Amino acid sequence: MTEAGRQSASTIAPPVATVDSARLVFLVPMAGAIVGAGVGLGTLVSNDVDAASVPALAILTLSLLTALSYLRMRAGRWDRPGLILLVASAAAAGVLLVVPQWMYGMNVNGIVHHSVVSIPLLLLVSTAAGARAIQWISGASPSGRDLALYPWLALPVLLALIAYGLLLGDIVITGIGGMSMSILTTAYHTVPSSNGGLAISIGPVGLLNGILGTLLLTAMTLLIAVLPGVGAGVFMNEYPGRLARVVDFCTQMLRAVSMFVIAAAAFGIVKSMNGWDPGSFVSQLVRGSFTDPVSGAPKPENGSFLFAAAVLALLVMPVIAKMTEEGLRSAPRELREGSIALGATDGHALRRILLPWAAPNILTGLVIAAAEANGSLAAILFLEGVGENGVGLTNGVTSLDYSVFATLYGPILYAHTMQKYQLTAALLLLLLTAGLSVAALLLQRRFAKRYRGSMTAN
Amino acid sequence: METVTGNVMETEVLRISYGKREVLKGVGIPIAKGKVTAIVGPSGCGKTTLLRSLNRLTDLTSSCRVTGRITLDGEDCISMDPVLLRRRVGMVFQKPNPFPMSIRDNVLYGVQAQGNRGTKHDEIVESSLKKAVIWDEVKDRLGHSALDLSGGQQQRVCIARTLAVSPEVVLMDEPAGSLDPRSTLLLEESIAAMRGDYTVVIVTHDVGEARRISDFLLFMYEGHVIEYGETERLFSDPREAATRDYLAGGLVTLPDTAEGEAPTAA
Ligand SMILES: Nc1ncnc2c1ncn2[C@@H]1O[C@H](COP(=O)(O)OP(=O)(O)OP(=O)(O)O)[C@@H](O)[C@H]1O
Ligand SMILES: [Mg+2]
Repeated sequence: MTEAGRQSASTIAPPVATVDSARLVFLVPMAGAIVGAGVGLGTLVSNDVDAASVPALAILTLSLLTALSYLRMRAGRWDRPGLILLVASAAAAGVLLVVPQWMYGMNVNGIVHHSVVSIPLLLLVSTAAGARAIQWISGASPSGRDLALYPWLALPVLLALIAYGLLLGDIVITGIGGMSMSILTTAYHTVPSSNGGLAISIGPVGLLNGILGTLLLTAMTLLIAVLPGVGAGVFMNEYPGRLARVVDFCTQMLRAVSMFVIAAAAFGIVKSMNGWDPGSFVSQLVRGSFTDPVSGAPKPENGSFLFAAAVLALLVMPVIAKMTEEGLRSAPRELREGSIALGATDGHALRRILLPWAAPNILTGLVIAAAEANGSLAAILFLEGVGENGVGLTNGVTSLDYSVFATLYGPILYAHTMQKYQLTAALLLLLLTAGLSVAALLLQRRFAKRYRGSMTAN
Repeated sequence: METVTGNVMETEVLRISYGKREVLKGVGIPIAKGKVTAIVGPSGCGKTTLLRSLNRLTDLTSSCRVTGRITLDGEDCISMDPVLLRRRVGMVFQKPNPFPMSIRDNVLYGVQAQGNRGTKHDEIVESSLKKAVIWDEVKDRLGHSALDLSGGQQQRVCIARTLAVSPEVVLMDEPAGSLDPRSTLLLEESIAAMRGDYTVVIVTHDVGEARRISDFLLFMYEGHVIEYGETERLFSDPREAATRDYLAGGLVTLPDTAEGEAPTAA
């Protein structure tokens, strides 16, 4: 920002930009603020960064001093908010110098670390300084004051992003590390040991059971839920009032109830079949079964795919019903009346006009339902196994959710061998749910401007 | 009130109210078979309500109560299955409401809804579209969406759709209400073509149009039928001062009402 640079800039560039290039001196306190905020956020992640908190505040104080001296030179007086910031920044540095590293009993057994004080101080002072610097740079205009709000708005977003990053970063990085073609295409299973008897040894290692299980579960859940869901939606639309309220209430309830309560209820049903012949049809449908490799007789599992899918279907049915109802309700009254006036029955209008009209909503509802099913897999946790006996309607149910869970609490052999793929399974489930959610969003956005628009145009 | 031989529909002391508000106050009208009957009257006098009661679309409004008698070929409409009634008494609405499907499917919608799976569908489509004076305009794009047509074309497809099921009576509520003059002319042409084969009851705000297309005219005011008769007679020799005033395009002056209402279309 030399005098020469400013002049050449002003002769070449048309006077569009209102930013006086001399004001760019305020980039100095801006940089100071960024350093301060950076150290503050860094301390969130690692205590080691805390050591830089006092130097960072010193830099911020100096940068503010630079800006203030410049202002004093041009305007002939001190900028009052700037001065307050300067004092605050210096005071914060002083406080941090005084505060001991561990505050409870002054030793490592104490609970509160120095960073508990340094992080809020750094973030607050830096954000305020950043906001002020933006206002200095953009001049004392109304839009400048608006711009100065941004640091305050950005701070919570930044904090949330860091929280997400910490949460997901580990899953993504470690998960990708464990990813390989063979993990994706191999099914985990155990083989009887050669000397017969009960001992078993580990076969190949992989996540295919969980992957296929999750896909089968999702498909089955939708298959079971689609007809009752759409039916309930039609019913809600035809007879608004009580049923609609009941469905709303159920949706709320199911969202609020802990998944483990539902899991316990579902497991109770399986448990109640204890005395049943494991080879019988009903037992196979509900409990699932596998053939014992030693005796060759059918043995019960904790729950079949079919039964687990039915439990999940109960959870996602309200979503499908709600979306169906919304789609039907959005059909113009004129179309209904037109159909009625032609002597068509309600059923005919439903088939030929209303359901086609609501089809995009129903489709979106199905995708949301699929995402919800994958998000609610904890509801069938007690029914699941690691799927070593295969994936099929009456096999023992398994999913990626359980693949993750079992690395800690599952069968000892599984936990032992699959431990290192825990986050790989978690990442796969995350990708599946995220993919479905994004698909639902895209569908919704796409269908928002579908060709019913041309209907209302004339 | 004149007696007309061969009435296809009749109403007697028809009273209709929305909630507590009575909007038709004892209406008795004949509807002559094979003729065009026009209903005129100031806005809000109950024309639409009367028309919708004739094929019981009033059933769809939950607050609407209908008492009195409506007959179709001597049968009581109130006790009839409404779906069967609507197959015999069709309706064309003020706002064109084609279904979001092809022109052909629009015309065949009612036919299929009524269970006709016959093979004469092509004939039905062609003859209906011809009667609605739209065949030439759409014959090359029967498979295209009806929503791509202009408002006037859409309205004539809606008429074709109604004619396709061969109703005895066709009700029309200001069918030209949202159309330009040219489309209105084509519409009037198609109504003229329907005379004889169908009985038409049409609500209109355009007194000139009523005179051009109708055989019988019904003048309503505030829920009452003020005068009914052959159209030419009502224009040339009205018995009521209010009828004369309204048909002359002026304000309605009834002895018991100081100020009348201006018709929206003169
Ligand atoms: N669904 C309804 N609920 C309550 N009142 C209604 C309803 N429909 C019509 N009305 C009332 O009934 C009266 C007659 O209405 P109607 O639509 O039959 O009049 P109209 O003669 O067709 O008028 P316009 O020429 O403006 O179409 C009006 O006062 C109107 O406010
Ligand atoms: Mg009306």
